[in-house]
Amino acid sequence: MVPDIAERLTTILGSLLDVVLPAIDPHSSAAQEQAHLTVASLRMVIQQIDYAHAFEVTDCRALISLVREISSILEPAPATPDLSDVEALLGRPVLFTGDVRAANRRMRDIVATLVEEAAAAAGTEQFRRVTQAVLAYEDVQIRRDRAFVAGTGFDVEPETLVPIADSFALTTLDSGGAK
Amino acid sequence: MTDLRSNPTDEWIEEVRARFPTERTVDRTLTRKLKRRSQPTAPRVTVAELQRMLQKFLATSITGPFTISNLRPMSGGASKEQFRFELEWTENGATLRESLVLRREPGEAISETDREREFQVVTAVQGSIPVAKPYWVDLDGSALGRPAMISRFIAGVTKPSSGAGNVSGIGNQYPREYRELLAPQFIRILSDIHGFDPTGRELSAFDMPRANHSQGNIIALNWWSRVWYEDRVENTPLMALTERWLYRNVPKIDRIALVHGDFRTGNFLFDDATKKITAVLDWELAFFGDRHADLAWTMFEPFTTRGESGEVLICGLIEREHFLAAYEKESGMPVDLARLDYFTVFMLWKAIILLLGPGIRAGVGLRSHQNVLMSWVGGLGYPFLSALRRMMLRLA
Repeated sequence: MVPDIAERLTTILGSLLDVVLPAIDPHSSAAQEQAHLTVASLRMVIQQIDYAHAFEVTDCRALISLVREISSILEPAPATPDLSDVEALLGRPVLFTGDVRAANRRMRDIVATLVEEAAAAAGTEQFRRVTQAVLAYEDVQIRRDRAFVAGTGFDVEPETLVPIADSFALTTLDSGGAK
Repeated sequence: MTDLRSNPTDEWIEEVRARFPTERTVDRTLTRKLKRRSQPTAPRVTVAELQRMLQKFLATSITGPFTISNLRPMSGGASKEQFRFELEWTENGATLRESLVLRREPGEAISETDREREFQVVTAVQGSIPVAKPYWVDLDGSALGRPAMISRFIAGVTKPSSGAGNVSGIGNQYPREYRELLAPQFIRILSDIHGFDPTGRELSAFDMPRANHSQGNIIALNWWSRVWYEDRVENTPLMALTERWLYRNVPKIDRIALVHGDFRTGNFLFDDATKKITAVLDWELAFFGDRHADLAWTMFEPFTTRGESGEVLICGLIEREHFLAAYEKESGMPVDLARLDYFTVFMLWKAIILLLGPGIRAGVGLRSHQNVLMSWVGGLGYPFLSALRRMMLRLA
C-alpha cells in the first residue's frame, strides 16, 4: 500500500506546516496553541504507528503471564481466569489490533480483581508477593509506554529512554523484589 | 456488552455513589458528570452566543447599565474554557472598569470540579493569599450554558518571557535571578495557605474532616478512587495495586489544613519585571485535609527541572532540602517524612488518575475544549507511573 500510513500522515503534516499553520490568526493564542499541539501529536503518531500492533501483542503476552503468576500466589486459589480465548486469539493467522487491545483491557480488569483479593486476604504475605509481581510487570511495561510517548517531552529521565523499536526487547531491570 | 462508563445507567451511577462515599459537593459534581455523559454533546457555543448569555447573566447581577467588550478565548486553561473580556459598569455612582476572566466548564474536563467550592475558597482566602478577586458565579450553568465563574484578570506570566517549558507550566525553567526571588514567595504562600484559618468563613460547600482521625483521608481516597472507577479508559495493574496499598496504610490527619490541590509552576502568575507573585490560580481541587498532600504534589519528580549545576529543583525553583527547611521555618509546622512518603504515593496516583482517566476520556470523547491537549498531557502519565512504581518499590 502506497503511501503507507506513516507516509500519508507525513504528507498531512507537511500541508499543515506549510499551508494551514501560517494561515491561522497569529493573535488567536488558543488556536495557535492547539495547531502546534496537533502538529506535535502527528509527529508522535508517525513515530508510533508501525509499532502499535506489536505494542498490544507484547502487552497481551505479558498480561497472560501476570494473571497466571498472581493466580498462583493467591490462597485459596481463585477461580482460575479462563484465558483460553486470549491464547487462541494470539494464535490466529490474522490478528486485528483492536481485538488484542480489547483482550488486554479485559485482562487488566482481571489483574485488578486479583489484586483486590490479595489485599483482602488475611496477613500481608500474599499482598507482598502480588506487589512484587505487579512491580516486575510494570518495570518493563512503563518503560515501553515511556518510549512510545517520549515525543511529548515530559519525561524527566530522557537519558533512560529507549527507542520504540528497542522497547520490545526490554527485560526486567529489577524484579520488583521478587525472588 | 454496554460500556457503562461511556453510557452510565442510573442504577450504575447509584452503585458507584454508594461504593465511594465522599464529600457532598464532590459527589454532586461527579454524579452530574455521569448523568450528562449519556446525553449528546452540546454544540460548541460561538463567542457571539456566549456574549449574549453573558449579557443576560450580568443583567441579573449588576444594577444599572454596563458594557461588555472584547470577549475572546484565552490560551491555556487545560481544565476549563477561559475567556477574557472588559467590563464597564456603575456601582454606587462610580464608573468601574475591569478586565475579567470567565472560567466555564467544558463538556467534560480533566478535573470535574464544583464551581461553588472554587468560588467559596477563593473568596475566603482573599486578603490572605494573592488571588484573582471572584465577582460572580453561575453555579448550575442556567445562565451561561454550563457552570462558570467570573474573576478579575490578573496581569502576569507563568514563566519567564525567555524561559522554556511544556504545556500547562510543566517543566518551566527559571534562571537563577528568578529563582532567588520567586522561591521564597512560593514557599511563603504555600505556608499561608496551610495556615489559613477557616473560622467564620462561608465554606459550606466543603465537608470539614476531623483532626487526629483518618476519615478525612479515606473520604479523599474515595473521591479519587471513584474518579478512576468511573472515568478510566483502561485499568493499570500498578494503579489497582496502589489503591489497595493506600487504603491499607491510610494515616490520621495530624492537623486540618486548607490544601490547594494543584500548587505548582504554571498555577501562579508573577510580574516578569519585579518577579513578584501576583496570583495563585486554579483552586478547583482545593479541600481541607493533610498539608502533606500539597507538599508531595509540589515536589513531584515530573515537575522538577535541573539547575545550572545539574541540581534537581522542586518546581524548577529550589532544591528539596532547602524547600522543606524553608517550609518548616515559614509555616512553623513540621514535615513528617513518613507522611510525606504516603502522600507522594497518594498524589502520584491522583495525578495519574487525572491524566489517564478523565483527561483521556474527555479528549477521546471529544468533549473537552482542548481535546488534543488532553491526549498530549496524557503522555505525562507515564513518567508519573514510573515515579509511582519507584515509590511503591521502596515502600510496599
